[in-house]
Amino acid sequence: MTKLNNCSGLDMEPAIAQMLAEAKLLRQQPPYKISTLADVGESLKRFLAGASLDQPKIEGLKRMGGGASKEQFVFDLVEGNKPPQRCVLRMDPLESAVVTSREREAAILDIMQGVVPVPKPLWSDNDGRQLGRPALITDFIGGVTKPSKSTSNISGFGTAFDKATRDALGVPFIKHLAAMHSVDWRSKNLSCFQAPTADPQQAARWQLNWWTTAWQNDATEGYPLMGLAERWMRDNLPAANSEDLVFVHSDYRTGNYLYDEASCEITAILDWELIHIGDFHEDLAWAAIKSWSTVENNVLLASSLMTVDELCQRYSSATGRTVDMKTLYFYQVLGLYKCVSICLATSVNAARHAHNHQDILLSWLAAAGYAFLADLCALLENGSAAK
Amino acid sequence: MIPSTELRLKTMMRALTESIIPALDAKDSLVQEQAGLLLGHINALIQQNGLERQIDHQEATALTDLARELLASAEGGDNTVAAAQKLTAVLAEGSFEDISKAVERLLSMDDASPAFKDAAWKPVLEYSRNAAARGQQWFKPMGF
Repeated sequence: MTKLNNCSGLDMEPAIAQMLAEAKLLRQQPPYKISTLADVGESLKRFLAGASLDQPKIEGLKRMGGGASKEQFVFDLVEGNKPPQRCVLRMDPLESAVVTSREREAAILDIMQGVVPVPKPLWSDNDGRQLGRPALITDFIGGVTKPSKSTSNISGFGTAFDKATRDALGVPFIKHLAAMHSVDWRSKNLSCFQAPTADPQQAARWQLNWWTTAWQNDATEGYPLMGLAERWMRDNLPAANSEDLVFVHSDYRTGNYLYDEASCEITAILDWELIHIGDFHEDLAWAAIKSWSTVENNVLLASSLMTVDELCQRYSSATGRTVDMKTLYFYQVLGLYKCVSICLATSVNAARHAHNHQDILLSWLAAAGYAFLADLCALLENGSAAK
Repeated sequence: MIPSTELRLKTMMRALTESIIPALDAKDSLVQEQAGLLLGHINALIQQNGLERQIDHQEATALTDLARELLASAEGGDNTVAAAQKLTAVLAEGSFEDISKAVERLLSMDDASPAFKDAAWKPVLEYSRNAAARGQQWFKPMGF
């Protein structure tokens, strides 16, 4: 991998700065050619033949639905006399809704084994030399992301649960969030992650600089509100103590976990691609974004499960941490800034360059950007995390 | 003109619904999902038909009004002064994209004076509330 300088000169996690710089270089590439199933099958066969398997065969290869970000396939791996193993292949298109790293995703899935329910990473091709694009193969876990009779929009937007389901799912939702935040990242061998420990505000600054850079790299138009929000965040960076720094999932919400409809047990937590070391408030703020929450009797239910007050109280009870409402507010502003950036800048940019397998989905997703802009505007006007 | 854009879009939807989608592999989730999105996009285009220039004009007028209001009170350190000069220049002869980026840049400067930060807050939020509402109304057929 070519080492690139952090041209922006901003204080940012070095691995993220490198990733964003590499993504900019892809702009000049011709349109992304969507692989046929036959091509993917051949690449997989060659890749797995080099993985010390006993005469591996790939059966039942097909594309999975959804996925605004990665190409996703499911297949059965048959090896010798062993029973078939169902696997999932997640592969980067040239560009997508967000720029992320398969290496970090594989690393965190490995770390979280036995901590929270996650797919098991089996193989990864971090630079795409063998599979054509960076890719990760995991085992397959069953479950649903929303009630099977639900008709909500894409990516978990507007998923609603009945009260019994809400009460039942709320328990593992908090338990798993607390468990993932309890992992001691300091004790892990983490060559692909860096920790924001230079000063108490570095965790917030690194995130702010990540997302303002993504926005500025990809936006085709400016939005006054994004300038105002950026300046407000620079003026109000919260401090984090060393013990506040955790593995932040960064997309922990309804729509990004699988659950069993009968037992309401969470069977897998998905979409770890934005994982980083940061302030725990970030995951709480993200879970409460309106688009994947519902409003009942004028009260917002974070991730359609519980009120923001309950979320904070139950998280505090489970972890012993104190939730600071000013810090939560900062990360709510940042969360909405990220959503606008993903929808109105990076998704649009990928679709304009025909660099994704689902350009039509990205141009659809872009329209959600105005709802996020409206929420960001309301949040800055109201000035309180609890509202 | 005959055939109108609306008629052409409606005939595309009918071709998709009655001929093309039934011929697609029902088990190919990517193809099914993309066909559904194509129908959704066309349906939204029918509802937005003929109104895009009007919306663009409203956007441009509101943005230039905001830019002028901000310039009247813009003050601060070197970065803010440079950003205000850039905005003045693009207001004279820049595109909508240039002006929007210059306004955003001016507002993002953390060396703005406290007085300018205060003065900018209310008009930017008011502009943004209206702009977001316009965007949401425009994309209402897409369910967001």
